[in-house]
Amino acid sequence: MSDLEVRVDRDMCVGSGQCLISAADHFGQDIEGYVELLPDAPTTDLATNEEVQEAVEKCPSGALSWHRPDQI
Amino acid sequence: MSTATSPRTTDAVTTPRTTTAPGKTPGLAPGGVPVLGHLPMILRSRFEFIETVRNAGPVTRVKLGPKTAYFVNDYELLAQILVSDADKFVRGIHFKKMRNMVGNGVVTTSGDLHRRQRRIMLPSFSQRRLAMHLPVMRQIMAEFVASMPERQPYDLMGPVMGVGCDIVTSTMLGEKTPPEVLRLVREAVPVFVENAAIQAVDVTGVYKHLPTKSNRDFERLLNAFNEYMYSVIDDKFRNGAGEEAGLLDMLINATDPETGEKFDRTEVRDQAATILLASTETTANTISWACYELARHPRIFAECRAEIDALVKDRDWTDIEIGRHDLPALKRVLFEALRMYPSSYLLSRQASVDTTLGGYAIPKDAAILYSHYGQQRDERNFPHGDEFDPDRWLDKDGGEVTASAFMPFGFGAYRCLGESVATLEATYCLAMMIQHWDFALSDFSEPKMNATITLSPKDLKFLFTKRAESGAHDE
Repeated sequence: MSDLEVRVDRDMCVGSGQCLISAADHFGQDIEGYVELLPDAPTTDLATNEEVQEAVEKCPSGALSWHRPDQI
Repeated sequence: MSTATSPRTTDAVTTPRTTTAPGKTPGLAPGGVPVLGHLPMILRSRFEFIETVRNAGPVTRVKLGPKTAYFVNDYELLAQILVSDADKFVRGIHFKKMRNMVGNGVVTTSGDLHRRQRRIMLPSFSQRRLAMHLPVMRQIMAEFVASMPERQPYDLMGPVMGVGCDIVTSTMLGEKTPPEVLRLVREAVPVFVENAAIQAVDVTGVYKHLPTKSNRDFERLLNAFNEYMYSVIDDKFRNGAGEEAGLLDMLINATDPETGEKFDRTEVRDQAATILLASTETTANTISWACYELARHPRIFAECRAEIDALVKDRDWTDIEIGRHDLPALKRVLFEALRMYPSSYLLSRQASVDTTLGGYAIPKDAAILYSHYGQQRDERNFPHGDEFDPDRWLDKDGGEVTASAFMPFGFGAYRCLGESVATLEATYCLAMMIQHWDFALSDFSEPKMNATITLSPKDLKFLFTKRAESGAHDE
């Protein structure tokens, strides 16, 4: 069973930075101030990571969501 | 822009619009009078105004003299204004009034400029960075709590604002900041806040030119503040920012992505002033209101104290960390205080284009008003909303709470940057106070909600007494 991943939809992002506040090891902001997944971020056990959970939960725009890698 | 409307203000009238936006015209909210519209009610009591218009529909028109504003009461439409359609709704006039003190900081800017400024500031507010500053914050708060006077009517607002000033100054300028600078900031900030409050209600704009004592103090302290800030900033520009990379260093090192330019010295000062003005009275309000409710609810106080005792045991506060799952009862108290007394209780936006909201036509340049206070006291969102009931938060998906309507720190792109800091500060400060002191309301106070720039307590005085020793410690 594959790990849950975080889907990042930059088009929906409004730049609030809530994700960065909650989980600074995973999320940053690109040069325009929109969300980006950090290249060095851990990729396993995300669903049980409380910081990442908080980031996804607090995202105001829905730019962050959980999905299985085999989902479209 | 159509601002000239006929002075007929009876409820049933729909004034002809000249907007090209599709959609119906919102009805007029009750409580207005001819010519002045809702202004008398607003001046009499902002809270009465908010509560009166709340039941007039999801979007309702209010008249401020000849000007029309649109009051939004529906939290789902608010999500549209603040998040999904945020580019169509820019900062309103509330914010423009703060410019004389804070210039163009993140509280007063909009759009692309705002997002880039926010992007530079944000890393300083992450939980990680907060953890670095925690020891300094804890120390400042512990000293404050230990020094509170006993058995005399005591207004928390001034002293807690002083704590907030010390925290911001120390984390921005470093722990070696000279004490006279800490004193300057502590003296200046309440004067800035008061002056901003006076100017906010001065619709003529004349006040700031009058030679009043308040204006003279404001000028003197603003000059002293600017002089010191610029001396530090200019020194860092010359000699390089520190390795520690505190907020001031990050602001100085930041580069605009398109032009490659850095913030100039004025912009750096503006952000520093913004943080001071935005964080101090607001957090002091929340702590004071929470103490007020704790003084009135001994069972809840006892529950919080038992939790704190179990966490702290006999350790010193310099060793204590309040973890994510610690002190849930105290955190519910904080939520409930934020729900009932959100510091930002009445805010505004301005429509940048003709648009629609919930089927209603909103013309370009229209003023939009909304109230987190109104929303969070609304019975439909929070049953028995005027009652302090922290236990309602035991089930965020239950019937007592509408989580989507709870926005004490705002929502979306302009949501409060300092939410984590404020929450941290309030949690530790309250925990220390509850552990150390018994709370009572002073007989010499009749507390009321005061609506100035923020929702502050008026005439709220406490009597704190040292916690009684219960005899030998139990195992």
